[in-house]
Amino acid sequence: MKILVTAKRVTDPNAKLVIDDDGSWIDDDVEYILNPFCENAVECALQLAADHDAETIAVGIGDEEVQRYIRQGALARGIDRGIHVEADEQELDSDLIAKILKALVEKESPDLVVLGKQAVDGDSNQVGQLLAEMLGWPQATFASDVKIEGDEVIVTREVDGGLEKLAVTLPAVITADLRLNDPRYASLAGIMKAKRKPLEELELDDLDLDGEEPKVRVVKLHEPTGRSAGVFVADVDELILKLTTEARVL
Amino acid sequence: MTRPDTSRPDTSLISRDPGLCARYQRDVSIVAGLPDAVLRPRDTLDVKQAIAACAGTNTAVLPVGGQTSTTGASVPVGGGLVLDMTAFELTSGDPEIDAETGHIRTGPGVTLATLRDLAARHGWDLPVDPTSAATCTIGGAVATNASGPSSFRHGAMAAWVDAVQLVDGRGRAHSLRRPQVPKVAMGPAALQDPVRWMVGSEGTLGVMTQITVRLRRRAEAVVGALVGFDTRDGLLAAVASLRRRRDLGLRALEWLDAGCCQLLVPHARGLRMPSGQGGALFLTVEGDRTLAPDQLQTLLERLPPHGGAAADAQLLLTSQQLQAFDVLRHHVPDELNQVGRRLANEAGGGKLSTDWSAPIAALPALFDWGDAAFADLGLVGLYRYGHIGDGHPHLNLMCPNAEVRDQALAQLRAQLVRVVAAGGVPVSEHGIGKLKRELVAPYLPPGARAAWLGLKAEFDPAGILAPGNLFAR
Ligand SMILES: Cc1cc2nc3c(=O)[nH]c(=O)nc-3n(C[C@H](O)[C@H](O)[C@H](O)COP(=O)(O)OP(=O)(O)OC[C@H]3O[C@@H](n4cnc5c(N)ncnc54)[C@H](O)[C@@H]3O)c2cc1C
Ligand SMILES: Cc1cc2nc3c(=O)[nH]c(=O)nc-3n(C[C@H](O)[C@H](O)[C@H](O)COP(=O)(O)OP(=O)(O)OC[C@H]3O[C@@H](n4cnc5c(N)ncnc54)[C@H](O)[C@@H]3O)c2cc1C
Repeated sequence: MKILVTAKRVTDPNAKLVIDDDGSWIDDDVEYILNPFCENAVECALQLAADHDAETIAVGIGDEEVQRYIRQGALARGIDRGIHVEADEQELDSDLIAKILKALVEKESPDLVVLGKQAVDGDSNQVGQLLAEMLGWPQATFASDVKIEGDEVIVTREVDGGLEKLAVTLPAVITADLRLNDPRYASLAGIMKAKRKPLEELELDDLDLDGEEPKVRVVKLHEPTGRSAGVFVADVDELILKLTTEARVL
Repeated sequence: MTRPDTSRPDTSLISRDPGLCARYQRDVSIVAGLPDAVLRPRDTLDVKQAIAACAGTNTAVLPVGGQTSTTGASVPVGGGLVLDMTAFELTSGDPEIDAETGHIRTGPGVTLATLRDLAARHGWDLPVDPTSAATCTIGGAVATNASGPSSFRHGAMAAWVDAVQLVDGRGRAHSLRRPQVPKVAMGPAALQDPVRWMVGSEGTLGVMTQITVRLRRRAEAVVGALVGFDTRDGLLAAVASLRRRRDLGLRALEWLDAGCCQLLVPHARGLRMPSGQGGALFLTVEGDRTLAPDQLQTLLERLPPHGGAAADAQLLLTSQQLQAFDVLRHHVPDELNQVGRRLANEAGGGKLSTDWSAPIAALPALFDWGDAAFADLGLVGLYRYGHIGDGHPHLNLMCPNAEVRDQALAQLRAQLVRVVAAGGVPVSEHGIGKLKRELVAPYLPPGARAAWLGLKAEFDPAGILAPGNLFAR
């Protein structure tokens, strides 16, 4: 059995982002982390691999720096090998990511692809769904429990109404939610081993995707406008007056 | 935020409301005492007027911040007026950062966590991180010389205070500033930095109304590791060896003994709590974003053989993982305090904790002595954790009843003699307050109490400020 798992680096949600002077992108001098949902996906792959004797492969797409997060975030935790697809991160959207992953699936023939349900930077929640559609595979998103039974994966999903239990036939695409598991910590031995694990470097034309364009482009980034200071009002009448005449919400 | 205009407050804003007063009768220690009145001063003028009024009637005045003191320092034993300094934050005390030079000037009632966050947002670090940072005030932290894990590298609060404004017990305002030059030769060195009189003064010399702290440039990255040990001696040998490699950016070096590790198992989520007899070391390293993880690895690889395996060390490489560990770590004092309160209520037992520190080389013998001395007391638990890199472990003796508690206390006092003989000090954290006066008295350097009384004569001749704290009779 073979499991493909995604490992995306995202800007640290705790870090203060600075937008470039021309508003085209964020200043790269910032702390990155492995996307927390990808950590859940990696943990899921490792647990399934232990139970079902599977080979595990982590994929990261983007600048060369991405390799650090594949090694530290995935290989050091126990994923067997990595693939880095070199791409300009400003020239990627969910659609192109899904196409790249599809090409990798065709190259590697995994039985299961596990992704994070979302990446906490762009927050578009699309890659897993797009990939399943492109492959024509069944999908089970927002997984909070995953079991493989025979040629089926039994997935509990966190949905608006509560929990939903699905059985999908392999091969399949799963996206991981936060409560799926508690990601393990890399050990020193894991970090040392990760340095020697194979990490394949691919370009877009290795996957016959040369010249593919993203459908979505970042036109401009800007900071949210600051909130103006609040005021104290003397009584309810003044409050209602202000809500009516100034805020115009009544 | 603009506020409705309120007329100048005067001492008539002092409240005698019993419900309000009752809210100030305790800190987190066993000490209790009801104030006669409470004032929440908004600015220096409020403080001056209140103190002048109290000086006239010989009424005690106790400034309090978050009342997180563990020694009764912020409990108004004997009544009097409590000055709750936390309202300063809302008016004249809003913190201002100078992001060029790395200083924050603030009112006394702002929490330490607020200031640490403010500094971090501007690329600076206020490296004083007591467990209580979210609830203790900068005023209280200065008044007790608070410290935390990062003090291993960066020292306690005393190292970071540049200037203090205060109102003394005569109602006079003073502005104290540490010399801004490295060398002073005007008599005894201990007398040359007036800011140091206020650090650790526990409210007895003046009410601080403004504090200026110095900041340091924030390291690009902080990374950590949790390492298990089969034996305590192995762990202590590792501590000694790690201390010799401070050049690798070691920021904190903390210990959780086997019992503490066990307490954390149910909360540890993806982290595996080490199960060896020696417990675990938690260390952090600060530095350059790409180099810090390598420095951490170098430190771990060079650990002396200790019966455990450095290879099993778990690495905490992101700020999320470190934050999660911080939350996890706090379960230890929380749970021990809970058990302690239950034991105290049931049969007058409770938790006894130590604040002593001693040179690292003396620790193995001190712990061995403790093992023997505490073994037959009938304790229901003995937990050791804390700032082992500074030779500053907290011993927590869980006593089932009053009798065991008394015997345990006697043994702790006997241990203190050994601590001090080895070159340590009886109290390295939390201050003296009202609970530790007798404990500390035998170990004060000659002249210390007289020097403090001299300062009292100048700043608070009537003795109305924080009576009962520190070295008072
Ligand atoms: C209106 C609205 C309401 C919302 N409400 C909620 C809410 O109530 N609760 C909540 O939790 N969230 C909420 N969200 C957040 C929403 O769930 C996220 O926007 C979305 O789930 C995450 O999108 P994403 O960018 O992570 O997805 P994608 O970009 O599609 O990423 C999904 C996964 O694809 C893989 N991937 C992507 N890029 C790469 C790469 N370069 N290399 C390798 N792998 C990669 C990763 O595994 C990633 O985890 C809301 C969002 C909107 C717009
Ligand atoms: C859960 C917990 C964890 C803790 N962890 C640590 C730790 O890791 N390290 C550590 O060092 N301590 C720790 N402490 C002890 C305590 O938090 C510190 O001593 C803290 O700095 C006290 O701050 P506070 O604002 O609560 O002061 P308070 O308790 O209100 O007062 C403490 C002393 O400061 C004086 N004071 C307060 N404000 C002023 C002022 N404006 N002017 C003059 N004097 C003033 C008071 O009179 C009193 O003597 C902990 C306490 C708790 C409850």
